[in-house]
Amino acid sequence: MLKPAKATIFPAAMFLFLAGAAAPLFGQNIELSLSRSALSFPAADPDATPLVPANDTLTVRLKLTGGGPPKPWQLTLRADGNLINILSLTSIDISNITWTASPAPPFRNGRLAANVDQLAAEGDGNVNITAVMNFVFQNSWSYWAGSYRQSVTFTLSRV
Amino acid sequence: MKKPIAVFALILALAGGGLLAQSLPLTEILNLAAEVSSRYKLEMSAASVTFTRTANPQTRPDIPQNENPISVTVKATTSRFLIFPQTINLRIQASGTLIDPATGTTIPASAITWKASGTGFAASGTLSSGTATLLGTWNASGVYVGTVTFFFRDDPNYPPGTYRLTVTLSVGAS
Repeated sequence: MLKPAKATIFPAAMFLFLAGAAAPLFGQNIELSLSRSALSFPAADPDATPLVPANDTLTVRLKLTGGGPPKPWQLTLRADGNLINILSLTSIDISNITWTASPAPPFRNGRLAANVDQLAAEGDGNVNITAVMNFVFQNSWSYWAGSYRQSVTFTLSRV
Repeated sequence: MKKPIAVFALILALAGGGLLAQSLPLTEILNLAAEVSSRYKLEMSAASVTFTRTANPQTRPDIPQNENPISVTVKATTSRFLIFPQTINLRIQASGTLIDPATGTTIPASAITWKASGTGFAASGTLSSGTATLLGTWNASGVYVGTVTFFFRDDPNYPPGTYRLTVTLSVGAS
């Protein structure tokens, strides 16, 4: 004899709900976090300081464990445009900002590009690492004086 | 009757996983700021020039400096508001008159003239002790290199002697 619909469907729903909720706990563990949300490059004499280091290092926490067979992954940096000064309506090419990173591998050194993903790290399997990135700004006499801003998106993804 | 409930159950199950799980790709935002301050620098290849009178001048010849032309480099990061840039100016001013300390005899600073070459440099000019004369002007940040040659306009009426004068070159924005 068949049971009423309510008696079979709701327990099944509850089971599926709990199973779905519990899946990440026993499955893949992923994390991407930055030690800071902002970095700045102070003003400096281009002759004395041709490469201006950022005011601090950036620590990147990367975790990608569990979840079945290892799969390739990558961390990319994408500048959302060039450095912009809204008062003077001038810009500085974002490629004047470069970084060095360790440990390498999986991290690598690189140069920012406007609206183009730049590879910062890659691997084939699980990773659980804390990396340090140092950003520097190429100084120049040719820049207009002012404050320039831009954001950079870090993306951790499967390849 | 069963169909809506089954769909609801599926949604519930997916929601249970989705609410607690993070999924790839993950993103984080880093905000960058770069500061560029107004800054000016002036570099010259020499700090002094000399002139030698030709024997018994009968006219008023322009005597060039004994040394090679002076290389002048102006480095500037200047500001701009919207489309209106600040102007970078290179000025030159004599501290007074040419004077022979031994006799106290003077020659007006206007006896010294110059010729310059290079983008933005004034082609020629005359020294003045009263006002700073424009030696160059630019409307954008950058490095500007030119050469300057000074001349002394001699006069048979100037008594022999050794005359000295300090000249100041300054760079700034207006």
